[in-house]
Amino acid sequence: MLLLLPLALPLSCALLCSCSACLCQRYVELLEHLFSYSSQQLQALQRQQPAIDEYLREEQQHRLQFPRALAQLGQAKRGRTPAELGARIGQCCDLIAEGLQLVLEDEVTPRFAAAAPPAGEWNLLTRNLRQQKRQLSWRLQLLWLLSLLLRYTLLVPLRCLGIGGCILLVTLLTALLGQLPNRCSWKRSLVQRVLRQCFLLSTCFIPVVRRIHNAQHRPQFGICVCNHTSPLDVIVLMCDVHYSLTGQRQDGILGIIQRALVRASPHLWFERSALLDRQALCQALRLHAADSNEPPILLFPEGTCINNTAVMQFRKGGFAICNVVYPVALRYDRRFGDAFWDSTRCSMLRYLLLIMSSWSITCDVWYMPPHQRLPSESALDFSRRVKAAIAAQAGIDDLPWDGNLKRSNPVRDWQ
Amino acid sequence: MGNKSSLFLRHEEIAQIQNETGFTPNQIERLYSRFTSLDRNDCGTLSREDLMRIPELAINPLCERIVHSFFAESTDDRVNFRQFMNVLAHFRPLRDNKQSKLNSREEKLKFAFKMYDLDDDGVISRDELLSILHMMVGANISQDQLVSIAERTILEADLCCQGKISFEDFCKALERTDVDQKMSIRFLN
Repeated sequence: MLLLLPLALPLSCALLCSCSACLCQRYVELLEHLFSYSSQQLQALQRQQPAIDEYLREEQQHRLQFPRALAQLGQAKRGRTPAELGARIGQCCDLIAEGLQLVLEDEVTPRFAAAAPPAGEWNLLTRNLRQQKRQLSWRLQLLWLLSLLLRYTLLVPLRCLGIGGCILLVTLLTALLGQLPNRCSWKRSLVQRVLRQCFLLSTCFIPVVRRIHNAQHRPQFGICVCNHTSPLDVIVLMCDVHYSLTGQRQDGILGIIQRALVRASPHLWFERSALLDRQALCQALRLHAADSNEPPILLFPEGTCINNTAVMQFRKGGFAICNVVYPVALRYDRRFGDAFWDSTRCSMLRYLLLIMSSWSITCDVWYMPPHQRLPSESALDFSRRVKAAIAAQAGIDDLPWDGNLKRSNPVRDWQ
Repeated sequence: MGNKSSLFLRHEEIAQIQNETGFTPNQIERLYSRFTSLDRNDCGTLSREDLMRIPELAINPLCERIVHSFFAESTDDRVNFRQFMNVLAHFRPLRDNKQSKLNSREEKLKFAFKMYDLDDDGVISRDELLSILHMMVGANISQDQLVSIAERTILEADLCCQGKISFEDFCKALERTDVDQKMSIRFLN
């Protein structure tokens, strides 16, 4: 009986997952209908209030013009001619106006906060409502109330129970699998299969809907780089391929999962502040990446979560290790719920509650053909090229700024 | 995913700010949402660091002065939403609908003058001019050259022959400049 358990578990998981895949499809279709209705209602409401309509149109127009206006200002700044006071003050005024314009609106800081939902649409989540509740029609208010009740009384408790069970299951299974002797040839494939089922099971409860593109480019070994939006990225990717993970050692729920995973398969968790580790880490990564029997290493070279509207500067470390990387592009569909974790503003628990109370987390995954470092290319240029490719594939902006500006202030070291 | 309830201002506050600055209620709400997103600690006021955190602003040569201009009225080195709006109101275009007392040509000029006049004594001294020049050209021009530029500029502009530039001299130098066009930024409606 006890021997049957390891067999029965993956089987039942597989069954549950295939059922849930079908259910997910229906669920997403249903939600799309619901949102199109709520958006229609909202637009009807906005037609009665032309001011708001005007405001949205102007905003869209402005978004198109904004970079051009900035470029013009930049030109004005460069064309300096040394002359009398008037000209000097003129230049100064240009700089002041340019600076103030950035106080109103800039390219970088909005990427560190949840992106605004598309104008004129509403997915019935309170957090995405851009106007006051009392301005809504009674139909929308009723719909909102029903969805609120459904999400918080049915979905959230069920999902929390489920995910708690998943964490328990992973901890138990990895403890069991960790007991197996390393010399068993089938240990690796068993671990991978079991963990993948666990992750698939957990996506039923953290409601992740995945759409995989270009599955033929799935990485088998080596180094895989990906844009980073939230810790969910790992779950999304681990459902498909078993990766070796790297990253900062965490506490709390993430810590429990990290410690569980490392018991059964090779992962690299380290203390980012301990710089002495860095050399050893590079060496370990290099050895791991060169071994085609080891699972691929998953790196998030941005080093921090960005709100999935842009890809920011990549750390070049990962690109110096290996001459070939396998890029993966992730894009979340914000209509059903935002996956972004604003770790400076909201705690892990609050973030989990936001995720659990969302409709679902819908994600497109693009596997991209491996990128080879050119002979004359530096690690930095290589990282830039890969970053541009990921941004183009996911259809999001490619920004040269450092994502760590989220936490630290910019330093003017060029003076 | 901040707390959305804080995104809405009370009607009285909007009316008061509208009265003081001439912004429309829509503009005020839009700027308030920007204000709250800059306020990383959710405390209702901004510090210098909050503004310096805008990377593109931080590389502006006059960044320090621009940020400083927000704190002219504040006593505790923090700026609240009303003070924030008062500073921005200087940059409303003149030709936009009705004029308020903050965006007249003279107010715009005063604002620019204060950028130079660090010690707030009503005149721009040689050192004050030099320090702005230094910020604008960086290390490209030597200190000696800068000093001679500053001295020449003062000699040229100084009408009362006191070796300093007064506000009148400052206005005179900008007589032919379209101040409204230079010192205005686009606010969405």
